[in-house]
Amino acid sequence: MQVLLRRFEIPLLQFATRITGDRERARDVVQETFVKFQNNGAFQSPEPATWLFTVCRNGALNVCRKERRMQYLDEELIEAREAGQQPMPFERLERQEATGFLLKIVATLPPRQQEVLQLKFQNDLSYQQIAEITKTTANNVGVLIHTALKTLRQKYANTAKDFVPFTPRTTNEA
Amino acid sequence: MNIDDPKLTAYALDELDEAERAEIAHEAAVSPEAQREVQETQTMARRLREDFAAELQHPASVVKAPLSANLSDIRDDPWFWTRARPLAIAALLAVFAVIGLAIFGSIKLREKEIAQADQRTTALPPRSSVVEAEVEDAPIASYAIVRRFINDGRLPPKDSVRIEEMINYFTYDYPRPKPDEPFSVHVEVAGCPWADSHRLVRIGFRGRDVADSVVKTAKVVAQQIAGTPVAIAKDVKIQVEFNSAQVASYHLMGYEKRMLRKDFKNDEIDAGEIGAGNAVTILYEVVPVGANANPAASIPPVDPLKYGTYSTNTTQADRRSNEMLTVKLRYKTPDGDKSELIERAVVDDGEQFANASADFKFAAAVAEFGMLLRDSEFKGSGTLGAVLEWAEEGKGAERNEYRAGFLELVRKAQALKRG
Repeated sequence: MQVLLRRFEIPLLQFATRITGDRERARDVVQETFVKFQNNGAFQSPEPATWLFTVCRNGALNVCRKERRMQYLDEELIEAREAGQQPMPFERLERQEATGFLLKIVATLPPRQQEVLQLKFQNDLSYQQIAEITKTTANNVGVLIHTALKTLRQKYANTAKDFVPFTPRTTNEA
Repeated sequence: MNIDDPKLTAYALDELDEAERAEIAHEAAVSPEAQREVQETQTMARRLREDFAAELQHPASVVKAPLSANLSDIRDDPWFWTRARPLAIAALLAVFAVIGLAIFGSIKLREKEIAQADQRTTALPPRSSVVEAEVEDAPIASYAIVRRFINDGRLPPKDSVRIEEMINYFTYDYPRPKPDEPFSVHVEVAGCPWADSHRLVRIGFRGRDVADSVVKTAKVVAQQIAGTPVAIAKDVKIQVEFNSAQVASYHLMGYEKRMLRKDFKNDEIDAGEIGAGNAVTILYEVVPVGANANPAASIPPVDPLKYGTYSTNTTQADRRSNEMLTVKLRYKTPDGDKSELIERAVVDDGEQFANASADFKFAAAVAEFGMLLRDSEFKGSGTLGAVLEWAEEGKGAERNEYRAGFLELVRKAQALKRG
């Protein structure tokens, strides 16, 4: 139990924070996830990661539901968002050189893409595990990640290009 | 081939089964465009992994933009102000409560030397090391970063290797706290495997498990006091006091970067953050009195005891004392200003490393691995091969998954070092 707590606490917190947008609610969600985990004897499960992320995701979505923050749940709205507008226009992002900039671009992606990226690249889960957690198919996870990476690469390249004039190479080395 | 194919991305991310993999590899072999696509996908994947890993290391820096809602809508909603906000405050306090009661969350350690109160009356030089624990978000991410680098075929940058975080990535068997105490303290002393005449001390602290009852209690408490800024857990201070009759000098494993950053003589040294979870492990390398006639000549220096030499002022009582050290854990209960004390005196019975517990061997292996990656001056005579041996002996039965992962990582590092 302790091993799992240590291993998953912060990843789950980050995951729940992305869904709820709120650190404190995320903490509550993760607490309850671990309590359920212990009570249900789920630590004997062969795939604790899948179990934990699934329960954590449900808990976070419940928080949204209770607080009338329905958008995330509403599949239609998610689809609409994916098809059309995005939560934050890319142009409005503050430019920032430091690491973490990439995550700001991630924050402009549709919610579905954000969560699969986080499960894949922060938590090293397989397409199959991610599919189970987000209640979809591995194929669909593949499409989401593919689309997300394409967009990221394009936006990242555009930004990188914009940055060149601001960090001119000096001639010190010569 | 079609380069805008999710299969190609899956191939780049190693998500295909054998057959599909072979098929795509075959097609990509003749398409420079596909090869570039794969390469760019992998580069982006690596950047993402690094940024996501950094986010775990600095959890507060998570991009806060909620996925789920337009916040301004909620703030305009009277429900938010009348109900959600107090609830949020209660939730926040509940979290503090849970953290406080269970040392859930993670622990920031701060080491400082205690100045001697009065040389004339105590006759003994100060000889204690204080580790002060503050409960807050803290990472154990160094291990994940190290693993990522090695899996990508590179040795990690030295500064990314934080030994204290690596040690605490793994958990160790510590006894449950007694019913009337929030913490248990466990100490084991045995030979230091990378320095023959030195001793290694492993000290483990364990808080109460995050049990249902604790969570409930915490919530009740929090709701009763909602709106009042109450810190449930006051500071937890861990003090390790070495007996100068036995110990010539000691070195706390890890914290190198933080120690260098600040003046070590300053008595408010921020020794950094370790371990998420409810147990903490620290290791000391100890040089016994008389172990090395001339340490400087043969063995890298360990932190000397502060404030002068130990021998001349030592009292008879201390000379006789066969205690090596005393661990003192001070904490304050939420309801009182009174500081509670848990104290464990430790006698070194001369145990050899070979006979140490599995946990001890494993922690030592992780520490030495970190020191080798950092090329630390304290690394002693250890090698990656020796690390493998110790970790293998310390692998234990139940925690195979993580510990076996460590063994694999050391093997990969070995291969990388060989070039």
